[in-house]
Amino acid sequence: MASPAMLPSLPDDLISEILSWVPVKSACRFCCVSRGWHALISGPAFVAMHRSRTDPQLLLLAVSYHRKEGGGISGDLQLVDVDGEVMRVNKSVGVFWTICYGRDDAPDCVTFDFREPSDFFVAKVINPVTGSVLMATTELDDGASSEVYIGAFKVGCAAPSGAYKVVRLRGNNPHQPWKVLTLGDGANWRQVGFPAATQSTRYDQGSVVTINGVMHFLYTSVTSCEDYIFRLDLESEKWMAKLKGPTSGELQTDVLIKYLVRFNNDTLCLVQSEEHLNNNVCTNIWLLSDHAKGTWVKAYTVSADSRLLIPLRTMRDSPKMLLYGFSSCKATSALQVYDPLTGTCTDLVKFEHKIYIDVLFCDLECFVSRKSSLVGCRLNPYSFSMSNFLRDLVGMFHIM
Amino acid sequence: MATREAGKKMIMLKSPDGMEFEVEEAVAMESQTIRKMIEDDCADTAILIPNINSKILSRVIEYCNKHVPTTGATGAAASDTVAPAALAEDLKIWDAEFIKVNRATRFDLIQAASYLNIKGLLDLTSQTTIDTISDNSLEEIRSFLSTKNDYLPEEEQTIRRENQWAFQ
Repeated sequence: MASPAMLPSLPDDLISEILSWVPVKSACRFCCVSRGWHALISGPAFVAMHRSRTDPQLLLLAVSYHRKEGGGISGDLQLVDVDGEVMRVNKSVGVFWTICYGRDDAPDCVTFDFREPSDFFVAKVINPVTGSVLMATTELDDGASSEVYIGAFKVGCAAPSGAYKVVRLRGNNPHQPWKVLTLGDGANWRQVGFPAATQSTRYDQGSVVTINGVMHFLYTSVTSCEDYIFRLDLESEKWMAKLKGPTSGELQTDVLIKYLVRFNNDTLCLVQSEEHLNNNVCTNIWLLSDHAKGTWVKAYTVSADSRLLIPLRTMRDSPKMLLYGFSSCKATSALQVYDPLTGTCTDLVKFEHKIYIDVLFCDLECFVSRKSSLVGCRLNPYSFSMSNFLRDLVGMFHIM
Repeated sequence: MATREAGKKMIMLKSPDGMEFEVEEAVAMESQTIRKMIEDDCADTAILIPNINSKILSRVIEYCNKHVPTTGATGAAASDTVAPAALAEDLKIWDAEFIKVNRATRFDLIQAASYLNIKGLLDLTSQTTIDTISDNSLEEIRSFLSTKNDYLPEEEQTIRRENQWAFQ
């Protein structure tokens, strides 16, 4: 019988078999074991096998700012793991704009930043985990704007090409068509019109979310209060048939807030908070079960104590749902698990005095990928206001 | 081909050290490798399992015996009256006992499971190894899996810095 010191090493395919089960964090640590392990763990075949067997690493994103020498502010991105431990700070990557899900569902972070000395700014697509710049962009001057507001620009990733596209929202005035630009492709704006522009109905604009290369815009008719979702296929830059939002059908309720989110990576989700007559706030989570027919299913109803809830995904092998909830007045947030069988929400982790700007699910690929392509371009609006999904929401939340 | 009283088809498995194991065909077919051989009609008399000694092969057969789907009277512990959930729980406990072996045996089992393509056993042995190594230091892992650190000191520093968060 061999003594432990003399154990033969396992063949590579068995090492790979064993390592494919380890959590993302351990896999990253094991990159330091040897050159061979590093090569194995960062190889595409291993990354794919690992993804099929292991839950992605959940990370929270926070933004911070610091003054640049010579004036101006620069944005930093902080990545925090679920223990509240700051995993990494990516310095001076720009001001957080949004998270886009590119190819393989890897979250890429889009930021913008001013470029000295004039007012125009650059957009960057970065890997939030490694901080590596995947793309630094383009001129965002569409020639028509006297005052540009960054919230009027939405970024999404087209499928299957993976191209990043910026959509310039222009309200529903038919004389101000919407436009699309491919990041990294100069100032080549293309008009896409807007399906609601020719109609007499007026709409209030709501949130925007991109799923599988389709950008979804939530609009509420001012006259009928009905919700519509306009859909732009980013690859073809063609509008798809609009969807009608779900109808809650309960007259005694008062809808406080509604917004779109991306649920389980590929499902459009409409969240609707309503206040019942007895002052109880409950959150209805509608999932679009059939794209073609536009069928909505009220998947969950969560009673929440005036918390804003972001449904994230269902848990592996269970009907429980993971969500991120926050209360802007107390400035606390929590990752929570909702159990539909018992109807209860349990805090998984509670973050005191912290609200994170986004929650990311990162496969091993985000950590080991070293891809980096730099495309020089520039953006050109001159007034900006912090805008992204959560910040929009926080804004709406103050009304509550 | 050997046949026993219950009319079940039997298969003879031979280890390279000359031991022979007679097992039910259904049990042997827990191994996708053997299943393929049987389906391709390459299993007339006895199947020689290279590289797997009799000690490990007998453990593998023990595992397959326990895990073969209990449609008939196979598996002593299984009974038609037991609920599936209880059965799964029972299997889990059995697995936990089964895998209480030393490191050398566990590695042999991983290799055997991989060669014979028995998914359940491969998952079990890999998972158990993971549980052992996930929280260990790099040195312990290197020694546990007999892997040599071939990084230059400065290289190791760089790669450790890049993955600093994973050590927290």
